Amino acid sequence: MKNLNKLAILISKPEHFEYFFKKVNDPDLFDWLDKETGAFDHIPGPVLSEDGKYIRFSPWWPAQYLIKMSNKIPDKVFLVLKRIKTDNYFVLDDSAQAILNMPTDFLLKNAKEIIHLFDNWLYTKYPKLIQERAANLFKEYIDLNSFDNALNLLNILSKLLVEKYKKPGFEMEIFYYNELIKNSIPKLIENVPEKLIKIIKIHLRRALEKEYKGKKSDLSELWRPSIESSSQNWGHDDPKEIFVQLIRDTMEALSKIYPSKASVILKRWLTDRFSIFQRITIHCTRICDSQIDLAKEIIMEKERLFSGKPGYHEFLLLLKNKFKEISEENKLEFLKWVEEGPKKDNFEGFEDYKKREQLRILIIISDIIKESAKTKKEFDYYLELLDKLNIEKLKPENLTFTHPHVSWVGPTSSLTKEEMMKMTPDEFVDWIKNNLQPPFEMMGPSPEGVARIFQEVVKEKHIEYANAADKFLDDKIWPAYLCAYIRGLEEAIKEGKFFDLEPVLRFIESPLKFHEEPEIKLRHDTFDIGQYSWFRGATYNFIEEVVKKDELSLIENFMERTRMLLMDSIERDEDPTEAEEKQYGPDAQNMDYVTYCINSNRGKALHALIQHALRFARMRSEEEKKDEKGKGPFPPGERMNLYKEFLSKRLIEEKSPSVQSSYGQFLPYVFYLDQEWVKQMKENDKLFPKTKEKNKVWEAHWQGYLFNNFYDRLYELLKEDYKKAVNNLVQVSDKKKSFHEDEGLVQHLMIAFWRKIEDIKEKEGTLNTFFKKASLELRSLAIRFLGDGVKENKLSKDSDEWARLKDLWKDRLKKAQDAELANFVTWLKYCPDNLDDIVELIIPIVPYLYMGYQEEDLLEYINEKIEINTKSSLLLLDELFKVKESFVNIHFRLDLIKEILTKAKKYKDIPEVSKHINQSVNRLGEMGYYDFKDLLIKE
Amino acid sequence: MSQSSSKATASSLEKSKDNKLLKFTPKELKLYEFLRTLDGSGKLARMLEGVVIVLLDKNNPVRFAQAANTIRCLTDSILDLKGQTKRPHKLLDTKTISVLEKQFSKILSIALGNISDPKERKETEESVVAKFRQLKNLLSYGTKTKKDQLLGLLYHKDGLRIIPKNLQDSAEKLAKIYHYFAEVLHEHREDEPDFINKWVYFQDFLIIVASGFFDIAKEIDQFLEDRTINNEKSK
Repeated sequence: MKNLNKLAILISKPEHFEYFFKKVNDPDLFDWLDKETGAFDHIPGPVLSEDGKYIRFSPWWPAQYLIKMSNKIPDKVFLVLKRIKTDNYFVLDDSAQAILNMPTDFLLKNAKEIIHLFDNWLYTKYPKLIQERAANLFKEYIDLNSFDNALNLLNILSKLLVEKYKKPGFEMEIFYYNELIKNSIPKLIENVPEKLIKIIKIHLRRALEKEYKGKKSDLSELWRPSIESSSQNWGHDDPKEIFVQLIRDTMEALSKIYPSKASVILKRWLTDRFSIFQRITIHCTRICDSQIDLAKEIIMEKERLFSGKPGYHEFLLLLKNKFKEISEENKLEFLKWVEEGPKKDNFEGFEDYKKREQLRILIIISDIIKESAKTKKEFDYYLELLDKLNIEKLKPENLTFTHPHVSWVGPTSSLTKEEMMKMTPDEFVDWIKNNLQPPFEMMGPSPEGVARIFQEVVKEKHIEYANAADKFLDDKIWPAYLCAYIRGLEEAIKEGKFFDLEPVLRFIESPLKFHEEPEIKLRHDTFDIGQYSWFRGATYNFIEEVVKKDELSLIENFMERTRMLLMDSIERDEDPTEAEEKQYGPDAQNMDYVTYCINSNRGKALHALIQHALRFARMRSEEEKKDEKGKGPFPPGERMNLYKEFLSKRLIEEKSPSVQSSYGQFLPYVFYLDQEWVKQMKENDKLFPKTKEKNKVWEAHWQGYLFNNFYDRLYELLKEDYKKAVNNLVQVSDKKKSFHEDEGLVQHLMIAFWRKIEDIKEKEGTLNTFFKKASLELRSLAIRFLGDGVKENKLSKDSDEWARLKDLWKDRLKKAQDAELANFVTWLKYCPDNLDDIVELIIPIVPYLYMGYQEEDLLEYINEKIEINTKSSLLLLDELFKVKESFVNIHFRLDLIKEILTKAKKYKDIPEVSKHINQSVNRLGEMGYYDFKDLLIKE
Repeated sequence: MSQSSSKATASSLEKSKDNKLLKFTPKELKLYEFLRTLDGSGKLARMLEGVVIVLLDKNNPVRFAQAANTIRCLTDSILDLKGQTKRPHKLLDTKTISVLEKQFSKILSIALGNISDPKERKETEESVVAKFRQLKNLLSYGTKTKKDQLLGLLYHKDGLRIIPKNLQDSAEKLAKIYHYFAEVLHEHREDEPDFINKWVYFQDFLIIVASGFFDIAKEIDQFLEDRTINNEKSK
C-alpha cells in the first residue's frame, strides 16, 4: 500500500501519468487504479479552442492500459467500458480497440451488450473513428461465423441520418461502408440472404419514405438508371444505390438457394409502391433462371409495353433474354401488341415516336423472331415490319435506355488531322466553305472543332499555307478558321520557322468585314463559328511575335505597313468597349487591369506597337547605335520619333484604363526609347497622373509598371508614386489589384532598401510607412524577399548590406509583434554571422515560427551549427521546446532532433551543454518521445 | 530524518557550512541532487541544507519556524525558476516591491509613534501589516493564488483535464502543507510533533517539480519492475 501511495505521487504529473499507462502491463493494479485513483472515471471531454474555431480532443491514457488488459481481464475492462459516457472520439476509439482485443469467446458471449455499446458510441457527436472499429467488429463476427451478431451490427451501421440532411445519408463514412460491403457481405449473402434482405430493405424503404414522402414516384430511374451495373449509374455514393446493389445481389443469391422463397418476395415487390423494388424484381427474373415463370408473366403484361411504367429498361432487357422462353402463341400475341403500338396521342410527332418505339422492341427481339419464322410463317410479317421501319432511319440511339446520359467532350471535328494534312490549301478552303453550316448540333462537329486541328496543320505546313493566304480572303469562311490560320502561323514564328510574310501581310491588311460580325441565330453558334473580333486580336499578336523575332529580317516596307495597321487598329478597334470593361473588367472585380488589357484587342495592338517601336530602334544602323554602348539601360536620346506623336495622342484619348496599363507595363522600354518624352508626359500629368479624377488611370499605369524589374532611375522618377502606393496599402486584399502588384511593390521597396535608396532609419520614410501599413502577408513577403537576397549574394560578415539588414532585423524585433518575425528564419542558412553573435536576434522570433516548416528551418540551422556554436544551438532548441505548439509539429523531424542531440553529446563535458541536453531529453520525454532516454547524460 | 554523523557513507556525504558532516536521508539526497541540477548556482541546494541543519538542532527553540521559513523560500524560488510567478498580470517586479516595502516600514514606524497605548499600537501594527502583506502578494503574484501557483508546477492547463480527481487531491494536499509551513512561521510555533512527517511528505512534491521527466520515469519503471519480480516470485 505504501508503494501504491508513492506511485500515486509519481504519476500525479500529466506527463508521468501518460508514461505510466503506456508502460504498465500488470492486471493486478487494475482494482487499485479503478477504485483508489479513479483513473477510469475521469475522462477528458472535447474542448472548444480559445478562439472558438476548433474542438480539441485530449487522449485518455488509461485507455492504453484497458486495451492491454482487455484480453487478460475482459470482464473487468468491459465493466469500465460500459461506464464510459463521452463525446471524446479518442476515448471511444480506444474503448472500441479494447473490445476488439478481447478473447473471441467473450465477444460471442457478450455480443448483445457489445453491439449495444457500439450503437451508443456510433451515435455520439464525433463518431468518425469508431466507425472503422465497428466495421472491424462486424468482420470479426463474420469470421467467427456469428452471422446474427454481424447482421445486428450491420443494421446499426446501415442507419441513415434522415433528420440531419435533406437527402438521407450514412452517419458512417461511405468509404467504410463500401469496404464493409465489398469484403464481408458475400459470406452473409451465402449464409443468411433472407435476413440480410430484410434488414437492407427496411433501410432502403426508410430512405425512400423520407426523400419521396407524399410523392407518387420514387424517381428511381433518375438516381439508378439501371439495376445492373452500368456506366449509366452515376454512383455518387448515394446510400440508396448501395442498398439497391446489396438487395439485388442478395436476391440473385436467394433465388438460387431458395427459389420459392425468393419468388414470394419478388411477386410482392412487383406491386410495391416504390418502383425500385419493381425494377429489382424484373431484373432478378432476367438473371435468375429459377424465376422464369415470373419472367413470362411480366412479359405478357400488356400494359408494360409502351406504357411508360417504371422499369422499362429492365423490361426490355428481360425481353431480349427471355422472350425466347414464351410459347409461340404468346410471342405472336405480344407482336400484335407491338404492331398496335402505344396508345394514340395527339402530340406532334406521335407517329415517329410510335414507329421508333415499335422498332426498338422489334430490333431487341429480332433474332428470336427470325428463329420462330423458320417454323411459323406468321412471324414473317413482323420481320417485314422490322425492315420497313428500319429503312425510315428511325433507329433509336440506345436500345434499352430511353433517356441515356451523355457527356460533352469539347468542340469536335469531322476531319482528322491526317485528313487535313493530306489536303492542299485549296482543297481545305473548298471543304470549309461547303461543310459545317449553322445551326450546329449540340456536341456535334463544328467549325471551332475543325479549326483547333487546322491550327496545328498550319503550324506544320506554314510555308504552303502562308503562300495561300489570299485563299482565306473570303466572306464564306467563318472567323474560327481565320483565327486558327493566323494563330498557326504565329506558333510557327514562335518556333523559329520562316516563311514569306508578304502574302500574310496582304491578308491581314485587307478590310475583311472589319466591324461586322457574322449573323448568328443561336447563341452557342458564336462559339462554333468564331468572331472577326477574335481574328483581329490574333493578327495583332501575330505582328507582335514577328517584330520580336530578330532572326526574321524585316524590310522597311513591312515595318511601315504593320505600323500603320497597328495604329489604325488602335484607333478603330472597339474592343474593349466601356460597357464590357465595366461588366467584366477590374471594376467588376473580375480581373486586374493588366490581364484585361492582354485580353482586349486595343491592348494587344498597343503591346504590338511598342514592340514594333523597339524593333525599329534595334533596326537602326550600327553607327547610330554605337554611342549608346556603356551608357546603361537608359542612354539619352530619342528613338521613337515615328511613334511619339501617336502614343501621346492615345495616352490622352484612350478611355480604357486596362489598355492604359500598357504604358506602365512598358515604361522601361518607352523610357529607353525616349526618356525625355516620359518625363514630359509625367510632368504634364499624362503618365501616372496625380489629379484625383484620373486616379483610375494612375492605378492602371502603376499596376502595369510593377510587372517590371527594378531600375534606380525609374525609382527616382516615380518616388512620389511609390509613396502614394505605400500609403494606399490596405490590410484586406483588393481584387482589383493583381497579386503581382503588391508583390512587385514589396520587391521594389526591398531592392531600394538593399541599394541604400531607402533606409529604415528614416522615421517617416517610405520603408517605415510600408512596415506600418502593410498586411502581415506583405511584410512577411518583404522579409523573405530579403532572405532570398541573403542567399543569392553570399554576403560577408563585414559587408555594408549585412549591417543594414541586421539593423532592419533589430528594428522589426522592436516594432513587430506578429508572425512577420518568423520570416527571419529564412535568413539563417546563408547569414554570414556566427550563431553566437545573433542568437539574441533569433530567440524572439521562435514563438512566432509557423508550425511545421519554419520550425523545421530552425532545426536544420541548429543542426548545422550544433558543433560550431554548441551552447547557443542548444539554447535555441530549448526555446523551440518552450513553444507549446511544437509538441505536435516537430514529430516528423525527430530524426533531426536526435542528430542534433547526438552531435551535442560529443561536448557533454561542458557543464552547460550536458545541462541543456538533459533538459531537451526530459522535455522530449514530457512530449511522449521516450526513445531519447539514452541520450541523457549522467552527472 | 537526517542526522549528524561521522560514519556517513561517501554517496550521502555533504558538507555543511561549518564543516560538520550531514547525512541526508535517501529522499533528501535525491532532492538535493535535483536541486543542484535545476539551479546551477547551488542556491536551492544550500537552502535544503539549511532546512536539514536547523531541524537537527534540537536546542534551537525556533527551529521549526526557521525551517518552515526556508522551506517556503525554497518553494518560492522553485516557483520563480519554473516561471509560475511570472504571470502576465504581475503588476510590479521584486525590486520595486522591496523598495515599496522599505518605504512602507518607514511610514508605519512614524505612524505607530503617534499611538501611545502599546496594546493599541500592537493591534494596529498587526492589522496594517496583514493588509500590506495582502497587497504585496497581489502586486507580486497577480490574482493567482499560491495554491494555483503550486498546482501550476504539476499541471499545465490541459494536463489538469486528464488527471483524475483523486490524484489531483493528493497534489492539493501538498499545497495545504505549504500553508501549514506559513502558519508555523508566522505563529513561531515551538512544538510541532507533525512537522517532520509533513516535511517528508512535502519533499515528494519538491522532488517531482524539481526533477527531470526521466528521473521520475525511472522510478515508475523501477516500481513496475519490482512488481513484476514480486509477481513472478509469488507464482
